Amino acid sequence: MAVPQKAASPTAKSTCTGAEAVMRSLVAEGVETIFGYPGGAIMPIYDALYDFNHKVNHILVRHEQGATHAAEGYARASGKVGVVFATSGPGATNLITGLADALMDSVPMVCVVGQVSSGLLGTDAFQEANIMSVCAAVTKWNYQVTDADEVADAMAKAFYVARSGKPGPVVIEVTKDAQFAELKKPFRYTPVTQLPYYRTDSGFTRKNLQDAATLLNEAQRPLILAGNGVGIAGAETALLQLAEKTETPVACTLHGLSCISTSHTLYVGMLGMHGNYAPNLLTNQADVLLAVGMRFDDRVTGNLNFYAKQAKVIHIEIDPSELNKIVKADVPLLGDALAILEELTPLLNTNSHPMWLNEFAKLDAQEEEKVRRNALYPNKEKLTMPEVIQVLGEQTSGEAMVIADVGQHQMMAARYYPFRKRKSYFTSGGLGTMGFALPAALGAKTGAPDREIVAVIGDGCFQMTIQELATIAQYKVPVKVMVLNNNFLGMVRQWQNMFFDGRYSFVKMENPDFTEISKAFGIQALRVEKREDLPGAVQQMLQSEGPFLLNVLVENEENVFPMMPTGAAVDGMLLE
Amino acid sequence: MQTLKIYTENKIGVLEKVTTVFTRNRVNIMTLNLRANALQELSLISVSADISQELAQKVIPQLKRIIEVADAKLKEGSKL
Repeated sequence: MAVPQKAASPTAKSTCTGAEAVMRSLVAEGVETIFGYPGGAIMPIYDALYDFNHKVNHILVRHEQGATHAAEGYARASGKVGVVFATSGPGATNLITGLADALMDSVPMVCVVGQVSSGLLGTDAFQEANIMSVCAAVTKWNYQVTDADEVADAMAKAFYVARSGKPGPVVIEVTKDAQFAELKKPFRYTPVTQLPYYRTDSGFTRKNLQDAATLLNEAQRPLILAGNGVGIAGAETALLQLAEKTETPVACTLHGLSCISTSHTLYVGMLGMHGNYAPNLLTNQADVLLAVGMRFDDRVTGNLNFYAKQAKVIHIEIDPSELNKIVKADVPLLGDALAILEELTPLLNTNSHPMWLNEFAKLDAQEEEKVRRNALYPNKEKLTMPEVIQVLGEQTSGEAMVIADVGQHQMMAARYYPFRKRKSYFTSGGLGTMGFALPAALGAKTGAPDREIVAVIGDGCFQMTIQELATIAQYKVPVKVMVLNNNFLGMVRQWQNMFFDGRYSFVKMENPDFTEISKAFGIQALRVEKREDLPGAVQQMLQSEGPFLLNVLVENEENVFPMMPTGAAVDGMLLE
Repeated sequence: MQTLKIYTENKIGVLEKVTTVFTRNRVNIMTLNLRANALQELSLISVSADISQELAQKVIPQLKRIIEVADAKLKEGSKL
């Protein structure tokens, strides 16, 4: 059937509807990609989109949650704001997990959602849900537009709030009557650069900086804790310059990974529950901690009563509510990590800490012997997750962008992938959303088409957003999907194994054949089980032109070590 | 008992965003008063609650993080 063509470009018209104002606002913001799913209450906006299809690339996901994670992947890979369209009611409620995820992980996102006409608000109309209330707890800002003339200002404010300060998700709800209505005034989009009561200013002073410099210059055992804020601020080089000038070891949080090459001599590993032995133990030996863009998450600190009590803490952080929330900062430095590091480094003396670095090396040797050697070169018939990640690392020269889901495979990918390039490990860290990785990988590839994107996914996670294989197939997004399939909810099983007397309560999964499922979606797939077949299979995946799924059958009951059990201190980490 | 004074933009839904911060920190509100100023641009929300010093120091920055909140502080005379 022939598609009817609209006569005139909407931008040429003197009139403009609220729906067209949404699209014109997006174009004015330079938005190139939208992840969305239409429905009744957003139909006028989708109708306007029809005319803007040449300017804006819309990707039709298969579930609204997928749209949010795709937008997150897009935002993190591209550094731009991720944009989502969804309808009212169930469309909007399906966004909630992704909004909470983006809020926790500081991902800039603007979601435009439909709403029933303003006259129907509060009447339990078809597909009406109280999204204003529901979203209040999971967004950085949300707003309901009921007047077409408000659209442009609301959109401009949304983008500013989403990307400024500590980035986060924003929901703009537009009632259906406001979408249909003609603007009374000419459309005018004025980007917002400040708001009356919302402050993104830096709050650090020369004295703060000098205090931080004095602590660092006098430190014998300094340690840098690099978090998500390093990458968000684009402060990787500035951090490296500071670390190299002062010869300070750098440990990364889960979100900080890849801000420094894992091959750098000053990189000492990952912090946290399943991080590396040396940086966790030595957190409690350091005399000065320089925390950069990280928020002392409980997975990083372990038992707070025994966390770094000996250390002076310098905390570089953009969100005032994070300062002194968990760990008291001796020197708080409020502001953008890049701006602060660039001012701090010139105040620091060139220094060296060979004895201190040697302590990391000694502990790392213990981890190598007790954990990594067995994990990477196992005496087991079945493949282990670490050896799969190692092969992936070798074949991608450590230059892929790894999008990990949530669970054992997430920790294994974080621990064993040799990150050589920046912005190369994205996962759902704060909320721990299973099902994040498949749509996030699709979004990441859209946002960074020149990067090799590999999603590392567990069999449990995969089945939470598996329908996005259809999106990947429809748009031929060449992402590589590696399912580490152990027929278990592995991390829950590990905890039941270690802390619940091995009582395996509902963690065994009888999975469908993922290889056949993938092929049915139109995506090439391969199953690999034997060690000798693994390198060839990974190579085939990486060399395929389109999307590819590699179903890797791994050891069913493998545990992730080291491990900091709940309630243990950072120096109470278990190696076995 | 402490009283917090929260100055906000006078917009639909802002009160809910403010009370959400108390809810997630498990603070039980004893009295709550909202009054818009003469021009109706700003509201003053006064909240009394039995809240520890430690928790108040956590709650106030979280209130200030709300985009529409202009300021949040303990009422003078409230002891911390």
